[in-house]
Amino acid sequence: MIPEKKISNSEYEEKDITTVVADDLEIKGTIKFKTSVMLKGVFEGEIFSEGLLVVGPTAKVTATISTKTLVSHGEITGNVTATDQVTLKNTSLHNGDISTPNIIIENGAVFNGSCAMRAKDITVK
Amino acid sequence: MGNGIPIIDEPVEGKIVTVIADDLEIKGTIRFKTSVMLKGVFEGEIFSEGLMVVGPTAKVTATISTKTLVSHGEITGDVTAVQQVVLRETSTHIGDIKTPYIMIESGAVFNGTCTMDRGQTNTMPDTAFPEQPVPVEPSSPVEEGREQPPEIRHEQKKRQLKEKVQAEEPANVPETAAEVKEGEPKHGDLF
Repeated sequence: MIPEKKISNSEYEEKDITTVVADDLEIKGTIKFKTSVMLKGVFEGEIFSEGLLVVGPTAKVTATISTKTLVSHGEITGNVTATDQVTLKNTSLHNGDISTPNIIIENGAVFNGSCAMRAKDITVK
Repeated sequence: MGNGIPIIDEPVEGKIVTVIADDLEIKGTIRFKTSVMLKGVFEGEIFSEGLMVVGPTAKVTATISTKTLVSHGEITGDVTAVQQVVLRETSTHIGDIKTPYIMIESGAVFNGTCTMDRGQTNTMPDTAFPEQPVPVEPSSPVEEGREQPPEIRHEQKKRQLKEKVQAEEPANVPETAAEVKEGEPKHGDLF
């Protein structure tokens, strides 16, 4: 079924994240990164990533996001494309469409939008 | 936050009132009040005031209106759940979901639109930093303005769904929704 490492994608430690953008910082524009970024402040614009994007519980992100992995604890407005996985934690609020092969929505998360996932082989036992 | 999130109480198979085994194929409408577990093939409409469990072997093509839906199997169709939807890791869902609480496990496949109406968004005020707990008044403009865009976006879908289901007002709380359903005429008494 789902390999163990997939699940561990949503479990990270803040010290392992390359860039942490604190909650008093407001950014407008485009950010691009390859490893990992944690946003805790306000962001508006576009995000292009080949790694892990973590949206902290205090964050308010209005953006078109293209990433490998997204873990959200905060508020996102905009469309997300993740090549690996999207995790909406129980405090998160997501308004916008999601396109990803693997999604986890925790109990308590709010998601308003469409979800498109690559069709998986469905084997009826 | 965390208040009011329904605990997922998935009973063991023995506690579910009706279990429809995997060699049974049903076409039509089913209505129930307590709990049903589907393991076979179903096509049609499901109206429920209780718990609907779709087993891992099930293939359901239906418009579903229920209180709680727990899916391990394959569902094609729109779902309205007044309490909660749970998509387990083996599940595949193609269709729209409308519910106040959703949980999707890793491995589940969901293709469709999710619409969630709940007053919960007042825990995320429009200020940038929600640490200071803002005492939101019931008539607060923050609360009212929040969920408008998705509402409008899915207006058409909702209308279609409503026609099929003849069900509750979209933004209603579960209790009122259930009341409305009780008064509904019982056509389609197939079983």
